[in-house]
Amino acid sequence: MRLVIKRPEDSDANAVDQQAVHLLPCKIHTRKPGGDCQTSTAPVDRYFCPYIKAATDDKAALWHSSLRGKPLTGVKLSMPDGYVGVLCVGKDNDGNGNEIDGSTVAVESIAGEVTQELMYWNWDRIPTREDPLLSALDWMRVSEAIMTHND
Amino acid sequence: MMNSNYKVCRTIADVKSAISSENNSFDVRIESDLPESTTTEKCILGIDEAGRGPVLGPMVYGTSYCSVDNQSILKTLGCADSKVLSEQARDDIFDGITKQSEILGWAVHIISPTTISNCSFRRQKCSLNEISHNAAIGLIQRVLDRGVNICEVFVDTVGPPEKYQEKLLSIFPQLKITVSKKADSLFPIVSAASICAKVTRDAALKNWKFIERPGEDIDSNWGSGYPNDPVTKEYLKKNIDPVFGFPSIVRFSWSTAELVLKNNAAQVDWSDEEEDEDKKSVPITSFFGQNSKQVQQKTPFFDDRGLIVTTKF
Repeated sequence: MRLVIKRPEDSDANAVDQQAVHLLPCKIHTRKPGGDCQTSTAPVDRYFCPYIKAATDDKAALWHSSLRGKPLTGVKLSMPDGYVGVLCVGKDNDGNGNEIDGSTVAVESIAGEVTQELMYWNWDRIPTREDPLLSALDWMRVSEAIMTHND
Repeated sequence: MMNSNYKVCRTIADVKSAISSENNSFDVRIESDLPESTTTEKCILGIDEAGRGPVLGPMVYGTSYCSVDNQSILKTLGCADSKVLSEQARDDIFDGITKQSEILGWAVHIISPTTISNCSFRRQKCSLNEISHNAAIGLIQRVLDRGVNICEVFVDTVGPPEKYQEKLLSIFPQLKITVSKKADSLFPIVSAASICAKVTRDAALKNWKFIERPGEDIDSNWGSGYPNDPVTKEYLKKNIDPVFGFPSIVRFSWSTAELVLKNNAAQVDWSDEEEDEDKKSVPITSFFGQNSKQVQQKTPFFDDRGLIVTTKF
């Protein structure tokens, strides 16, 4: 699978730059099966952000929140130096995606760049380096090391 | 938990403004000034709760305490089972309690609906009884920490009284503790605690700050708040956000609330539940022999990190 991301040349896409991004430990089915393909917007500022609270115990840098009554434990994740996070909006697999050299995949439209940080949430479990997403970031350091030593 | 912040309130108006100035998604703790006499003379302390059953609003734990010699004030004020008193009578008695600040002390712990749901939806579920027990323990500890000379404690039971009493005695071996059913009608000090809890619970509902709808007129036609009340059910159905569900005044963990969401809001799959299903659907034969289609990764490094190699090395 291959994903080509076209970074917009104009700066319009930066409009959502400052919006906080929350990675949730669940899938929200906002589209009803067989229904229209509208993407719903969610009032995150009103129904999620007010429930966020820094952990009071001395485990610094942990956050708590609540979604549909489920307790969430989260960490703030900064993008590594030299990298930007990109927020992509996917399309359903309706066969209309742009195909690139035979193998799959659509060019996803880009809603914006996450320039600063995002919140990574687990359901009642402290995020650790063992979590897939957090450990995936290891690759950046490993790849840098490989590239350096190949010279 | 024990050194959480308490706000000092001196009147029922103080309690109301304390509630409406806080973020009601979180717990709020309120207490009276410390009556001088309670630190020197031997004291009794009562504990009771309000708002255990409703699907809406917080559950409130209350305590009241005074010296053994001053306990006649409780009957004078009319402290009796809060359930047989009218709302007005309870407000009047609470007003009387706050005016006796020289001899009567009290404290309440407002356990938010979010706390209740979160405890219930933890990976290792914490029951409502356990929440109640912890709240009672927290209140006793708080009053002890303020230097009150408690000798005897009376608690309205939650669950079997014998086990509960044993649990409390193991934590506070220095106290004489009585846990019983209907303690609020048997012991005036528990009646007083029950009135503090009930008045606070009513004030919390009436002054609830809907953080989700700043500046909006709030539909507060929710009936009794009990799950079998048709008005309450109708309220739940009318106040849904398709993604987030209810505002935080609702206890998501109540089965009535869960059912309303199942039928009226977006379905939410939690990652772990999904994983379990995936595991079930893998046929056992797939563990034998080689799957020729599987791409050979150079190292488990990428698999472990949820990464897929998309270009050839």
